[in-house]
Amino acid sequence: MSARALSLDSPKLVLAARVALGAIFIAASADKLIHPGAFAEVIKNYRLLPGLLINPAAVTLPWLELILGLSLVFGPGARGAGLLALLLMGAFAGALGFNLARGLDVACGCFRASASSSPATLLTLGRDVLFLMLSLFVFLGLKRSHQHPGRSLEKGT
Amino acid sequence: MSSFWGKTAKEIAIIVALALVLGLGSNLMRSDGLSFATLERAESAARARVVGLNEALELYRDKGAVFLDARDRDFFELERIRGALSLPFNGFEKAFPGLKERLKNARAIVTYCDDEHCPLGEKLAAKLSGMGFPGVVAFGGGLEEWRSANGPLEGEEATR
Repeated sequence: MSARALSLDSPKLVLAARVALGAIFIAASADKLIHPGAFAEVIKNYRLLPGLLINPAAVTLPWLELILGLSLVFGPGARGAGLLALLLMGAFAGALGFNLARGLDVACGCFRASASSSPATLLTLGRDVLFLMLSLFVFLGLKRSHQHPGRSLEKGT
Repeated sequence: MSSFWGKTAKEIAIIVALALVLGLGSNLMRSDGLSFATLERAESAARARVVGLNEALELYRDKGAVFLDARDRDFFELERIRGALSLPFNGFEKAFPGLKERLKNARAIVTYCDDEHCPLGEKLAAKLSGMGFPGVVAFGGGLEEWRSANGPLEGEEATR
């Protein structure tokens, strides 16, 4: 294995991170797609969205997660999906951190759509921040491969 | 550089549009789909109609309304509107099953608490309305106003 393959901007590493991030989003969407009513309850408990937007968000957000997850794993639209993932993870971590700071015991709603599951903790926030960093890594990797197409996975290894 | 952002924005637009179409579309198709007006309705149901003394007395005497005491059971035992049933707001799940049939057959339901400062009567009325019981109102003046108007009472400490 060459030193290049181990470096942080290795196209292989970016691809692996992209697939992992996509898989995380796909896994996160499943339970919410099945139980939009329970997910709406979770969103409501965050007390951040106005009432009228809660149900529309509960039915579209899981699809957004699924589509951008599939896009990250399989390729088409991966750059847009990468930026969206970064923005979404920023919003999720921000919302969770904000509610932890104001002392609200909200269920995360990250992978399970149940409002009665155990409340989010600093560990949950830590996990979100890790995912946020992963998203940033993936997006920067995708951006780099656009600027230097010669270093794409096909040609650069 | 600009072509990167342009293409990225285009991809984002396509992904978001797809999510909106699939999300809203699938919600329309499924039998347990969410209503986008549910929360608005829930909010208006949360404000149950509050009636004054005259209307409460009329409902009591002429219309055979079921009166529900929303306070805790101990207070109900001490003093209550005569004929009222105990359905404590803080203990609803426990007490409700025993009253369900009676309430289903009620022509009107009036909830009350101690006085106008106690919100439990209104909360109970809102809860029952939200569950689909028709004709639920809250008597805002509660037991205190009922007592001062010489309404019929009963219980361990009731004077009339």
